[in-house]
Amino acid sequence: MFTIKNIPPSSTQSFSDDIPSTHRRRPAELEAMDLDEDEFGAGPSRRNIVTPGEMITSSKEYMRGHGTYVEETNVISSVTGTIERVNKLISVKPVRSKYVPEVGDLVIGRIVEVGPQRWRVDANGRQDAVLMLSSVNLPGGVQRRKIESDALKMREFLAEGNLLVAEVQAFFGDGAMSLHTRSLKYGKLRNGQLLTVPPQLIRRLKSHFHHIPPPCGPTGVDVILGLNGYVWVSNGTSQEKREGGEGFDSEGVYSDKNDDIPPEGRQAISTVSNLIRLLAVQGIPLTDTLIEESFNWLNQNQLPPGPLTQPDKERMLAEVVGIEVSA
Amino acid sequence: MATAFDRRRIPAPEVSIPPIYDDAELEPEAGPSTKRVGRANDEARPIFLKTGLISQANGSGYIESGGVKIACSVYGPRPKAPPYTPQGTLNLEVKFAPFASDPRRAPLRDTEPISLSQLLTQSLTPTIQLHLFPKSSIDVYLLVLESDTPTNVLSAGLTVASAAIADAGIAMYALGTGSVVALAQSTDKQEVLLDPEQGEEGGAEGKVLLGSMPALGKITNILLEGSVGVEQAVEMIEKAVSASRDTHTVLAQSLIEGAQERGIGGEAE
Repeated sequence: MFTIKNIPPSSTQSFSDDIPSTHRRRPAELEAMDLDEDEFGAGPSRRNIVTPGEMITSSKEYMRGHGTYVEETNVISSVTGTIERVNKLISVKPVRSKYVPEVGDLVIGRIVEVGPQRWRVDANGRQDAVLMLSSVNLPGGVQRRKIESDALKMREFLAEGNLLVAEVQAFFGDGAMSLHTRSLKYGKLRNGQLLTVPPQLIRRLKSHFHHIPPPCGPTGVDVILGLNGYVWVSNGTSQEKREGGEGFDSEGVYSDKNDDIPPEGRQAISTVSNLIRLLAVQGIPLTDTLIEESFNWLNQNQLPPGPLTQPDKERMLAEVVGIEVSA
Repeated sequence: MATAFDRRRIPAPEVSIPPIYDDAELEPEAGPSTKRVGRANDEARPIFLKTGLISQANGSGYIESGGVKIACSVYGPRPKAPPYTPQGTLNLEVKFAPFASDPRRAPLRDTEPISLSQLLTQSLTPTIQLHLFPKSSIDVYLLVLESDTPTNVLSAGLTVASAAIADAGIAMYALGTGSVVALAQSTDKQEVLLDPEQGEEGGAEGKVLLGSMPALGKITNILLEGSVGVEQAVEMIEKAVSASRDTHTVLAQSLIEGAQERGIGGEAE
């Protein structure tokens, strides 16, 4: 167990002597965390918010993580957010920011440019992502070297404005992400609707592909939760197609045509989209179970199709999520 | 004259007559020796600051401070067109609504916002960790909805831009705040006035605009206009420094409240 010493005021800190108590409770806060270390992170109520420039602790005893920097011997927050600590590593998780990618993340993106041997993709990050021609599966299913004729046909596979689901493969030197779609689960998206939510609301899950079975539409509804905050809600597909097994239509992977979706299917897609939007507006982290439970709640209550009324929204949030919301 | 007519805008009537007021309602002439009423010389006017009001921006803030109202939105960090830069670039643009000042501003022909944008960029750049954003740009747009003096616009603009950048989750060294102090010549002595109003600033000997990072005890920019002695200049800067701490409290508090509204930290759950 370690304790935190009071740091003698340095030349810069002497200026901030008059800073009100709300800005100077950090060392005490950390000490309180130390007392029950086992429970650290058990609930957000214990955590505290810091603003940029606020001193968190001494850099002699702690290491700086994301969202912090070291000035003289102090660890100082560089964003507004909550303090997180793993052993001696202090980081600040921003309340809201652009998507910060990690290798292996599942993201949804939109093609913004077709370039030489590569597509540029908007994936809600600081920089546009890059999808190399060599990291996609081409129709035909056979793994082979991409030749010049493939490069000339790039716009036939993915044109500007097309949406795709991909995985973060690596990073370039400037922090831009390189994507790949080398799996039958990944590729071009169709038959659905894109939603944009804050990326902080998407947790890293075992699987980001979810299927809500009927009665949610005649064939169910598929939901893809991209870690970059883009969510794809589409008409449900059969089990084999989802897993890319037998009968997988490799020629149709780059098709631009939407299938015929019956009105009930469209209704189901927009119902699920509305639910996700409602949860996102309240800042509730999205998971497959939460989305499915809120749909089941709708189903049990036999609510008419169309947008939820305000009292119904509040009831849903209270009964499914367990939070009280007043208009 | 017909060529200068702008068909996209509703023309004002050709003739207009100023309203006539009773003499009693006339405000006293703004002179160099008017005594400040209603507040002490070292008392600033209250500030209203709120973040996250502009939903499509990555970060936003709105400030009301004295006679100034500014809405600020921040977009980015987002990819920047070549040439590539190893550091991020800060693009800052100040715009005045046509109704923001009296007399009304002529749209498009206004040259004041350009110099204000440059000064504000100078004060704001040291607060941002631009080295973390290679090949990216951070775009900050300030829309002035109401203004009294350019100095007050700069001071409030710096505070609200910091709030909006922090709201966007962009890494900063510390929050930047602005404060204004004027030196007024009274009949018998000189007085240092914090957060001067339009009339006070008009009759002032000199004024100081200070950009600072109170959390670190650092100053980003000092703009001194007029003729002021060294000792008085030091006194004015010290007043401005202590005033910036109060502004910092308001700024930090509004960011924390903004976070709590999103259900994070503090009272939530």
